[in-house]
Amino acid sequence: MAPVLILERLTVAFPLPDGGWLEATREVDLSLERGRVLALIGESGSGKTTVLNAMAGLLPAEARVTGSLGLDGGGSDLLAPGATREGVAGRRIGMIFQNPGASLNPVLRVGATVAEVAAVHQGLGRTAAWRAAVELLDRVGIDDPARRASDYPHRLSGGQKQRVAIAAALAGKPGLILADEPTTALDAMVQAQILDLLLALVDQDGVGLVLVTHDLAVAGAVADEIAVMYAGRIVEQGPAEAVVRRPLHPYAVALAGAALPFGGVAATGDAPFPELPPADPALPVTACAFAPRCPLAIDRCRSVRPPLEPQDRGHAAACWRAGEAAP
Amino acid sequence: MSRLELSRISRVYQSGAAPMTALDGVNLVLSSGEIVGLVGESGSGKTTLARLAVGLDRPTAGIVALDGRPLTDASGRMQRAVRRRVQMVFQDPLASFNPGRSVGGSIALPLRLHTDLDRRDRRSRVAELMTATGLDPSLAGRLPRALSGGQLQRAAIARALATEPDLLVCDEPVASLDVSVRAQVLNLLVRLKRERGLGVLFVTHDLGVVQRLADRTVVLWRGRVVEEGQGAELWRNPTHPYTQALAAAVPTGLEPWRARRRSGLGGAGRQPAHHVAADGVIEGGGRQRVDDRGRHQE
Repeated sequence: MAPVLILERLTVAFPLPDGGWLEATREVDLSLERGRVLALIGESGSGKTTVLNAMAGLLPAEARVTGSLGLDGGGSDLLAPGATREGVAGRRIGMIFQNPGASLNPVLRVGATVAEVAAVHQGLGRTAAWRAAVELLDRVGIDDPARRASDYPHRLSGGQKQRVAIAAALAGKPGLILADEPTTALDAMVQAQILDLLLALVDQDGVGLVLVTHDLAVAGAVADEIAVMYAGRIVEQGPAEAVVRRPLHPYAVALAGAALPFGGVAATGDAPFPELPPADPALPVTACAFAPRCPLAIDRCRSVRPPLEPQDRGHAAACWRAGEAAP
Repeated sequence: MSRLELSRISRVYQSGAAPMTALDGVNLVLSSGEIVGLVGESGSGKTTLARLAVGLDRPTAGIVALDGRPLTDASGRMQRAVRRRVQMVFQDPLASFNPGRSVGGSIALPLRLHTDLDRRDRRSRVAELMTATGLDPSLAGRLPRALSGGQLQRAAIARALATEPDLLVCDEPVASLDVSVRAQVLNLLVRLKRERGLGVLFVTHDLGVVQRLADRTVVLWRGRVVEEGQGAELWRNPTHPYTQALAAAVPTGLEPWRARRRSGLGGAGRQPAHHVAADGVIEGGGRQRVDDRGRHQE
């Protein structure tokens, strides 16, 4: 089966006031098949949201974008400015954002928000689009959808709003869903329901899901594959279980150490929390970006940037000393 | 040694046609030298309780007392000397600073209000407070937006510590922070507890954090305390169905969703068996699956 997503050598740069460019992502390659989940993890400024926005055609016009994007075996020039609005956004990609309140129009009934997408992308008339919207609201688990469709967003809880946002994303009949921290603003139980819903769409409709999250536990629980980003590059990628249980890159090891997963903790409240040095926004070209903070750094790390290379059964890392850091 | 005691607290909001009960007969004690976790979902009343604990709001019924004396007088005002002893740190550090005032100026403000230090002494006290919270005092002249989220949250803690409070109420203080800086803030709270005997009420919905941080944890559900327990012990053996459901809903690694995906129980995300208090509970009570004692209802 042709992958639903092939992203090659994506590099995005934003102009700086002094006339220079800040490269937010460098040479990012991703691919994903239908019915699979890829989690992109990293911290603020690692470039994960930029990758998502580039695929969805949501970068500002002044951004400099190079690389190629193929969707569902289709064209590869979709990253070019101007190609995105019609070709990508809505039709073949559904996008879900962190803050469901901000992604819904407060003066539009939620049914109308979903119906608008259905009308534009499925060419439906007014009545048919509304009917499609009610069906989608039912599909995403909104109770009494015919009545709820007439509600305004402020009448809904955060979890319900995120369900509506997912319904709107589905109205374009996408093969690929991009979700940017879709459960970060939600409580644990509502988070669990939204993750259930997204996985049901992956399993039943066979959509591909790219999930951006900073939560390693969420990534490990729902993803088939995990890519770890640091300073604009993917530094580790592999099957979710391998990345969670046996991280190879010292940054991924540190990230796993700083995560505070719930359950199975023997420590008391006095246990110190493992600290992880924050990333440096400057992106060195010729060295490993993590080297200044890496406990294993050697001279080579500061002079030659390690490429992302397979280490073990589909598990790749960009590190000269991959696998040497103790988890 | 200070002791903040909230007794039989109720808070009812009169909004629109029907009054909304945010808190219903809640008891809570916070003492010096302990970190008390307060957990619950959106709408459980935990932020209302935090605001009552620092006198930002008054209960409809019940008493908030500091060392046996009511926190506020009959008109709802707090004595300055009382206000000094209980301070608060908010979730969004950027929103809790005046954007036009330097960070050092904001930290100095409580010193102007609560002490008779002159300008020079205030400046050196600000530097001390920043150093104590792991901040470089040279950042004092910066505006809030020039600091990272983690730096600014530590500045918010420095500002709260300026009055040398005995107790600190923190409402989701690390929810908006990256994992790399979250640990710094948590370690700071642990250090303040140990070194200064600070008492901390830590409001959160992050069970992974509370499990490691809190000496004692109070679980709030629909405005009531449903369970209370010591440290990690509570989570090893939760007894109330709501606490159990809360614990079961947290992703713990590789198992829960993968197992359910394999067995095809994913459904449409609607009412999976262990998600007790679903949207319905906090969405106007339209879909209640747990009664007031936390029993499951079908």
